[in-house]
Amino acid sequence: MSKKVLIVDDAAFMRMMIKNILLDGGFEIAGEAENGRQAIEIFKKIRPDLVTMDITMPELDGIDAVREIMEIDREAKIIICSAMGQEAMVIDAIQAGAKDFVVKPFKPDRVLAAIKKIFSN
Amino acid sequence: MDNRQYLQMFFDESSEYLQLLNENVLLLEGDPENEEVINAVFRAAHSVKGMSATMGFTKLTDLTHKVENILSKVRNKELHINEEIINLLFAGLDHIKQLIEDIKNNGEEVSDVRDYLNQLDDFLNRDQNSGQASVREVTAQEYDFTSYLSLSEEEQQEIAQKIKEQDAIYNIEVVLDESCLLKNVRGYMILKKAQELGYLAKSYPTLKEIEDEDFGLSIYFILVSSMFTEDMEEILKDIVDVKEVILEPSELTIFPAVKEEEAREDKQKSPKSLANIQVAPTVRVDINKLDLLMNMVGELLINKTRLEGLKISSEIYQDIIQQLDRVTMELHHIVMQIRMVPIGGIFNRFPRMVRDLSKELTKEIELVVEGADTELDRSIIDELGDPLMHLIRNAIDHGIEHPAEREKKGKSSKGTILLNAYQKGSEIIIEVEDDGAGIDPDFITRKALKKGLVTTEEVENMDDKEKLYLIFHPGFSTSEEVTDLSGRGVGMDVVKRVVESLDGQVFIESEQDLGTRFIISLPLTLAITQALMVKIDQEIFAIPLGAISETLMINPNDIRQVRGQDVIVLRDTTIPIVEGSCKLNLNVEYGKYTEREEISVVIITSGERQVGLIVDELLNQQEIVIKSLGNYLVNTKNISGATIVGDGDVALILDVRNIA
Amino acid sequence: MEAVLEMEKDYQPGSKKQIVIFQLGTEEYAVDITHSREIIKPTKITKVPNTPDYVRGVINLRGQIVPVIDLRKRFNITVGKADKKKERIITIESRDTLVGLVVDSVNEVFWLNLTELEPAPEIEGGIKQEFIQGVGKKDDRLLILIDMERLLFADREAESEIM
Repeated sequence: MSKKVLIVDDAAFMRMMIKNILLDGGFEIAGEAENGRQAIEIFKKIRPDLVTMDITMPELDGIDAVREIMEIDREAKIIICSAMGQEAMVIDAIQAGAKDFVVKPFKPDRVLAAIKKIFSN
Repeated sequence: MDNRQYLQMFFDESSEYLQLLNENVLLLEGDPENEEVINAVFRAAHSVKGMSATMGFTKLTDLTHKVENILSKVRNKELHINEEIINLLFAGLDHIKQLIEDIKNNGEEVSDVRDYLNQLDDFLNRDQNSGQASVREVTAQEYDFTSYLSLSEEEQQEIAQKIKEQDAIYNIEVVLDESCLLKNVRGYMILKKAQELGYLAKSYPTLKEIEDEDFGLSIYFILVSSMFTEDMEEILKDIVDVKEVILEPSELTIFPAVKEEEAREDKQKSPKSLANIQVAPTVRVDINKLDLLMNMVGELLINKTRLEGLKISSEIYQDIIQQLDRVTMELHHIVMQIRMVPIGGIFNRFPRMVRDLSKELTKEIELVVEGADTELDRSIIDELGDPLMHLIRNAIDHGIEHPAEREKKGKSSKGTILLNAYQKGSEIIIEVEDDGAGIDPDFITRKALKKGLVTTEEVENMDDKEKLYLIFHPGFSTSEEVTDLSGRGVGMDVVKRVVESLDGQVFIESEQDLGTRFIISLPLTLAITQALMVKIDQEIFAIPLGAISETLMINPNDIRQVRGQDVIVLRDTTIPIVEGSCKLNLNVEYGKYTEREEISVVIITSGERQVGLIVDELLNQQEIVIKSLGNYLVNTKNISGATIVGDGDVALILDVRNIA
Repeated sequence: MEAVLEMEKDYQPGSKKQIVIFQLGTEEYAVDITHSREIIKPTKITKVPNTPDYVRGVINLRGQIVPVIDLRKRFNITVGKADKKKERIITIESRDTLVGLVVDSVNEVFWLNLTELEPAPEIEGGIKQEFIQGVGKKDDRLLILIDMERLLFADREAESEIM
């Protein structure tokens, strides 16, 4: 059975992009959220196998969303989608419990490789 | 956006490092064995390499990597500093600078550095073939560890505290893939992972610093662990972006600590490491924020002036006004202080230039720098680099004579260029002085005549001083033989233009065979200045005091005519007079002033020129906050800005340079 | 990538644009509200010499020097007479520059349906067609939407190119 993924990003364009990469990689898109608050709500409902999390978002940013999701489920697998120059924030997110990160602009093979590694551990 | 910020930081920091490198390599030339300097150079080069790799600038990374190789050999005492190495290093710094400029201007590394890289390779190979080299391959690994991770006694004791019977100490290098993005974060994850594998005794970079540290592609660490090497290797290798893991047992033998007390005692004895020199805490502030702050202070100043104008006769009021005055002035002073930076920042680049140019021209020149800690407004400093560079180039190129010629003149064979800065009242004076040949006024006039810049008639009326100032004429270049020094870039007219755009002035003093001195005077700051307020056709205008030599009340009978131009004669000098309203194209009848009994005239000076500006009324003298007219009205003729006067009205500032 | 994202955000099919409607002579004009910062009553304007006649001068807007343009003069509108009491200055921000526009009066703020925006027809005399972004309608009233960027900078650029 393919793994269910929740995509979190405030830009529809980015969600679309990640969605296509993941669909091509054989994942199932279980839901999309455009901010951290929404992400937590949807996470509670659908319990995805993986969350791709943008950092800068309105309402609730990705770092806080990671923190809250980790409190809901300590085993949650979250991968951070960051941009260059966000080092400090990515480190915060990793400290909060995110498993790995990918950097925009996304290269499909890199994204998929990172996700596969998360599931192999 | 983030990326741009990142790039800006890269530019800022790399130029700081470049400056540091230039200074230190220069120091090294005079003091080749100074280990402290060698280490500083190494660290800076390493940082530039790391930053370049992070940004993905491959040419820069490659180049700095090779330069670093040379430096590491020097540090390892495998190489000794000689002129060839110094020249190679300087050339390398120039290439680095060029590549960074490329990125700034074109967004990519345009320049071809292959020749230089080959030169470096040749040099390194030559060195490798001469003996010692054969062992390099083997020791390379070990070298990296000793350079990044030598353990202090303190740290060894720390390990002794943590190490257990079954533990072993490993030197580990994790090499990241070149395509790795956000290396700092990746490095952080690697070190975090390492902590899960055992006791992380030391790392380069450290976990704390990794966020800001510019390391290359390798992370080095010393790990104390009981795990099998194969397992550790596999776990580390499984991390994304890890290209290679080099893991080997350390030669260090540390036994578990015996007695805690003993260790503690030792700890106290061990000397403090000198490696971590603390830098005074500073913050980087966006210059725009400072401008904003300055604006607010200006506002406060204006309102204070308005309050003072109320003239309420109450003791409390007087007291408040005094307090307010003190606080406002202090605040103003502090904000100005924050905006001030030492001029040394731009002086620092000249020693290197003087060295290179004098070598090229086979002249012996010593550059003496004084007053490098003199402070000037940041916005002024930024503009001064090029004009000063040009003046110094000129001094080297045209001023200082060849050694033989100097001896013939009875001077020491070594010429001196003095670069001096100091504060004089509310002005900053910068002098570029040489003890060279001096400027020959007649030579200058001949040149100017030949170029058609002046007429013979004009020249006849000129004294020597006026002749000298012809070099500021656009299109004038004294370069007889075209060297690539002064010919390159700006001319003297640009020097003058830049200085004047900063509300400053340039003067020349020169004496044949004794030398030449260029004197630049600048206002301390551009934001606030003293001004004379005048009235022209019912409107109030401000004239910066720096441009006024005096004010007069004249009688219509004092006015003479020279070639149809109204003039006055002031202490034997003929000064043309112009009507303010005419210069401003105001809608009034011109020439009416001759009907007045007394005419107010402001004598304005710009460089060597003087003009008498006729105004309706001379008002008060006051401090004004200079404000821009904004993009829409920029380049308005004869108006350089605006200011807000006591009652909240706007008064325009006259652009005296254009009027004079 | 950034640029693509920007476009994504801006593009909203069938969206509306909020505009400020003002009076000049007998006609109603409008500017995009995203450009306008505030509407103020005329304060003391200081004349600036050596500028075109449609530049009324500069004002002190909370410490900032702001140039003020007389739109009537700018567009050569001579019909009708402005009632000084109703005269307003709309401050406009474009390319990091703040400029004030003197108009006869400010009428209202209105949501304009972009699909109803029509290209500028030939208007005899008065405002140059190049400054018109389009013509919109409110009920049966015609609104002339001004292209601020063009108005403020088009001719200035032409000038500097000549220089």
